[in-house]
Amino acid sequence: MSKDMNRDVLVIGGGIAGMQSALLLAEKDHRIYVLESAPAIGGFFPLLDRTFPTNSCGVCFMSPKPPAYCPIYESDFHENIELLTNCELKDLAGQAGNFEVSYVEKPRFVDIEKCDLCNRCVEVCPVEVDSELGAGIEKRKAIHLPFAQAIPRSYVIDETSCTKCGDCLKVCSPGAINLQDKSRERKLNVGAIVLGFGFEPFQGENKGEYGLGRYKNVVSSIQYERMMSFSSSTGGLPGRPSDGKRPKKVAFIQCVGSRDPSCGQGYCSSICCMYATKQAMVSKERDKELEAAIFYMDIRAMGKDYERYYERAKQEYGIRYLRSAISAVRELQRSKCLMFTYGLENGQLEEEEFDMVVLSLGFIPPARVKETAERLGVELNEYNFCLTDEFRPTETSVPGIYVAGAFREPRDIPETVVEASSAAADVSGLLDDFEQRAVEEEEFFEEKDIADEESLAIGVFICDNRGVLAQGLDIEEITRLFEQDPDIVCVEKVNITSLKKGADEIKNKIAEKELTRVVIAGHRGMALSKALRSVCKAVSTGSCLLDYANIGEQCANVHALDSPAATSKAKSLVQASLRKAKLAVPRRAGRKRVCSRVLVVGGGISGLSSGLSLAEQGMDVTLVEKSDKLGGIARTAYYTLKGSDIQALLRDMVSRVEAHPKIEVLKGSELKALEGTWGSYHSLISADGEEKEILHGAVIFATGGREALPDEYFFGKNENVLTQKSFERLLAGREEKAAKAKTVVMIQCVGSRDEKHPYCSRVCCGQAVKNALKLKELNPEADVYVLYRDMRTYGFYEKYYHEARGKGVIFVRYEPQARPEVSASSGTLRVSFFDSVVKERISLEADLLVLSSGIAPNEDNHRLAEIAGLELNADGFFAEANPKAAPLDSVDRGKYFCGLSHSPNHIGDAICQGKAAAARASALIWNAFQEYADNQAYVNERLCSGCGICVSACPYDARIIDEVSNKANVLEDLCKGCGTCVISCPNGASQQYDFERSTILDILDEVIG
Amino acid sequence: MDGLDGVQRMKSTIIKVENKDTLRSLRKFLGRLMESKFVEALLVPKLLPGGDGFVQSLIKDSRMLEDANPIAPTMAVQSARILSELTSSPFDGRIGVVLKPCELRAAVEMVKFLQVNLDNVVTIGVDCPGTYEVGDYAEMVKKDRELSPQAFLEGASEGEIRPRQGYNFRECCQICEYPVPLNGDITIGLLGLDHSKEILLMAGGRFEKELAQKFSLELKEGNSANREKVIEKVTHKRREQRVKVIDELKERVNIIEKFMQTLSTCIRCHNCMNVCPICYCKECVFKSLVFEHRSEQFLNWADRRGAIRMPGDTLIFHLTRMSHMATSCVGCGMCDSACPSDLPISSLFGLIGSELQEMFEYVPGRDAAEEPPVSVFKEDELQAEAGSE
Repeated sequence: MSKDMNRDVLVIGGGIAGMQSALLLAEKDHRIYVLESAPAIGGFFPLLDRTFPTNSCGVCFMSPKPPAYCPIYESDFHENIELLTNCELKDLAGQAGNFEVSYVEKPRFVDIEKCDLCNRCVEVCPVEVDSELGAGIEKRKAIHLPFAQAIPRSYVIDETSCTKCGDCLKVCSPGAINLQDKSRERKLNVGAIVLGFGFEPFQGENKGEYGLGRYKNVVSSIQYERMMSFSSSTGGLPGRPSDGKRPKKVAFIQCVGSRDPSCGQGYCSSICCMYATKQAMVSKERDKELEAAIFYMDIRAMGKDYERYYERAKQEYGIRYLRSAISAVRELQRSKCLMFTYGLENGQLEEEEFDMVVLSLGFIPPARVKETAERLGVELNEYNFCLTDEFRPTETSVPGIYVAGAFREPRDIPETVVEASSAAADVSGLLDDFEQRAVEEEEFFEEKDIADEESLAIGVFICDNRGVLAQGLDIEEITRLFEQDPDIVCVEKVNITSLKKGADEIKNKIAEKELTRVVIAGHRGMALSKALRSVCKAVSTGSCLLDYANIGEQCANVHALDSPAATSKAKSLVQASLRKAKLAVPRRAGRKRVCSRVLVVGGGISGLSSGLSLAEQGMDVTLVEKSDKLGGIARTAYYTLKGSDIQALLRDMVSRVEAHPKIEVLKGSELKALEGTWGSYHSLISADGEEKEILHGAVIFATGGREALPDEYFFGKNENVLTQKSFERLLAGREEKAAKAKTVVMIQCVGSRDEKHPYCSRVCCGQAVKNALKLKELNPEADVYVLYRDMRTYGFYEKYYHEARGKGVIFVRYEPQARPEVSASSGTLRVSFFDSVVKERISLEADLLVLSSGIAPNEDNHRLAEIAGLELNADGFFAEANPKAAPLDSVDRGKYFCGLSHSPNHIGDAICQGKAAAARASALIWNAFQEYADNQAYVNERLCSGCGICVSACPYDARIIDEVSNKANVLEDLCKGCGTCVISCPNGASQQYDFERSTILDILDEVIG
Repeated sequence: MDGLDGVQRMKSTIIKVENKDTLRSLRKFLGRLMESKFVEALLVPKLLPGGDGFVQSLIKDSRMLEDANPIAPTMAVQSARILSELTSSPFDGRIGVVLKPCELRAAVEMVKFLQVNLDNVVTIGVDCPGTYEVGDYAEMVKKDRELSPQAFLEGASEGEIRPRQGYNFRECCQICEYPVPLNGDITIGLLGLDHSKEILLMAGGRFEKELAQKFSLELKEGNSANREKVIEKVTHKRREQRVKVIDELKERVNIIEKFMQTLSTCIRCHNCMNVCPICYCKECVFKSLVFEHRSEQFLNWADRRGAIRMPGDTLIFHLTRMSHMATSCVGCGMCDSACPSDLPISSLFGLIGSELQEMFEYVPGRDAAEEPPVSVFKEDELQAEAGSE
């Protein structure tokens, strides 16, 4: 199979989805262009200070790559990713494999290369407008840095507000500003496109009754999120906009612009319940006295571990959850407090006053999405989100164009990351051919052998940007430091007019003077050292022999008013750097050969989808299935809520898998043992009484889940008590028992969200609506009652819930402490429950009682977790390394999981997860060699007491105690160089390359004397 | 009794003392353990030939128990250190080890750091009324050749333990809140009992059944009310003393200058580290190359500051040692006994250690299964949000 196509990929939208797709594809040598209309990448990500369900900071993740650190920085640093910010798509021609894209680079008016970020232009700019991320509570100038950590880190002039007064020109010493800057049209040729358009918040002002924009203390959830951010002007403690006082009582009103056909928003935005919960919890953490109340219709905590989070918010944080739609908010004239009426559980009305009201805004597709979609030829659905097939969730209507994230349907970060990975898998399936990839068998980079060097040849480069450093520092005094040092071969002042030119100049000097150590002193730590590290590699020096002293931001800038102090600090920093460069020992990071086969355990929908995706990219797959048939739990599923035929899908997938030459299917087989680490696993499979050994580079667990079987409500004792799945089978076969039933009662959350199973099974509400609609279709006269706690028909499923209500399905809510009661005297089922609307106990005879019993993890998970070294979460599903950055990954980066073994999910999600796991696995094994992390830890055996602290401290399981020698060992392929073991080791037996204790002490010595 | 919450539930029985000779009865019990092969060997303090002190001895021949004294009123060496040597590699058979409460706690602590292996060890904890400095005891014997070791138990039955002959207990014993063993396989109880008549024998956990069978002991649930009361009385008194000592010390070290002043007489002999049962490193970083400075380096430092103290690296030595092991410090006070400059190292560790231990809800030596704070990360510990007020 030869794929003669352009391998370059265009990602439109630089938010979480776009960055994730880009990062995965970049690992496979695709050239990725990230087109972003904003002047910086990140989308809504930089807005988030804390994320659910851990309330941890969302900006950086210390977890295995990809993404290792922060997706924004990773994207910036990846050599295969090019960021096209401030650009708009203009036109598209061609077809899958060969698209021609034209786009417009909007004028930035500031030359990134020339600008030294001195901020004087901002100080003099007279134009002030609302800042984009400031959510209406913070201002910015017409010339501005989009946000503090913006990538690219550059000012930009917003054309619409700029008056072109020219004040900024006068103060810009590098001459970086050009008010005549024009937009430029450019062209690109790519093979595939991923759309990650993201979302916009609903315009809360459109719901005038809540007073957003009129009442000062009514704020949108976006504004509140910003107020909670430590980087905002509030310092993380929201104050009332009217008087700046800290609120004592805050109300959150849910579903503003969601589940509300009256304002054109028929769908559920899926994440507002959780983000409001997070906002309330974090507010309480910051201010224990604060009272928070959330007014909602149904709490939709259907994501992994979300139900526990919701319970914690109620029980540990004391957040009040009140089920009541709010009709209007009033402002009190003097206090500017807000007042509204809500209904209590007993039907009475209550009026309450709050200091602040936060409107939980729903999500809408971004503005002008229709035009863009038209240009691309991509079809949209009724709500203007991207139209996709349920079983091909990341494919748009145009072949070669894929979609991920909130532009497909409102969703949270983990789902977005999964979907973006799945879109990357689609791109790979189209463009990649594993067998055709370029493999470097030999040395991965040339490195001059300087291990036996007799003397050092150090070059010091003081990188100034048009004299900016010289204004704040006495450069001559600094250079005098180097006069007496015999190891220093040259001291050069480099004028950095552009990164590339500066880097080239240094590169030439290194070659000319045969330097073995380089010290750079200057501005802009990250960007410059990144450019220079590759320079050093290029001139065969090896990256560890360069050190960087930031005498710009850390000296000249922060001590701008005290030049002698700044100079003295700069001197000690440079000396410290010099010391470090001298102590650095040439060392080459290790690497390992990666085995290309992938083992997929489990032949259900998600496993099949993983296997197919990998095989389409040309990778070898072994698929192990315990039973003698492929298909898993989907074999007993017939139709989806959206009406798709599951059996047809399954037949198609199974036949494709069985016919694929790249997939070896082992039925009636079981994984017996798994050893090794990422890139090289060794597994033992028992197949038909025989044992088979398999070598593979990655493993995907798609071991499924099972329908939980109820142990109550006469299940198994009365033949008319069924589970949703068996009811579905009857309906699909139009069997009389179902089709002729006159009264059907469904009870939700039987075995979910209770003490034994404190998680939500996510799919049951949809199942109930699906089966209720099906029954109504077969027999419109049937009475269907759905007894529920919260209807969790999230996203576009909301439409079907609405439809079911419209068709006369009766939904009655019950409280967990007053569960429906069922009696079965002489075979007749009688269900009684309390209806809070009519405030009466209702008792009715049911022909069929259908129990939504939910999904349970496979009991086999425990055994698998044990042999494969995986963690299970408290509910018995596989636990991910990080719910956001690595949602399908174990800590050892070669093991992945998907489908029901990960969490309860609908079929579309299982397909998505299967593909996503495949994309993540294939990004790992694409390269025949993978390098180990830099700055790994090592053990000085003479000092090691074998106490094992490092073993328990290591977050990556990269430590073991050798049983024979009683000494700690480092497993190089798992060590990430985080240094935790170094800190925990009492006598310094654990050290880290380039950060040895003696090095650090010597450096400190230089700094503090 | 906060600190004693972790005390293992043990069953107990009473051993009758013959002829008011407590020591002899104890030796007899230990002898039976050896003769019945319940243990192959026994580690127990034994009288020095000169009769003026005791030293831990590993006994293989039960006849050698003649001079053994499981209630020796001195602690020349912290036995956890000996246990670490003794159990460093696998061996056959079981060893019984007689330990004071602080020795037992240190041993349990060392199990967590893989420095002691108790798999083949039967720990025999003995109530401790307090110990004397080795030199003081020798003098006491010199003054009174007839001094009976049993005399040191006077007052133990009613919790009124007084030091003898004008000598005082070691300072750390005066403020020790753990006069009874927390978790030995066998515990020998003396507090709250008339030791001239009876000794309490407690057994729990892994050897309980074997002991009961082999020695036909009638082990019963529960502790005597009087014993509980006496233990509470002793710990209460010592806790009061502890608060006093710690408060006084706080005054001496509450600002950095005073703190440095307090440690200024350190001669960097490293004795405190050498005798510490918790300092388990094979080679301390302070004895390694990292702290072997070049001559030029010393002169550089002196040049920069005008003058430097010699020997150097004293403050950093104590602070580093503290940061490594203050959470595990059992307060045995061996460091104080070994310090030629009389530095209050033990109470300094007590001051810092107790705050740290409280912070992590950690009691060193309480339970081998309890993970030391340095090796675990709990998401909800030390809650403080970066950037918050």
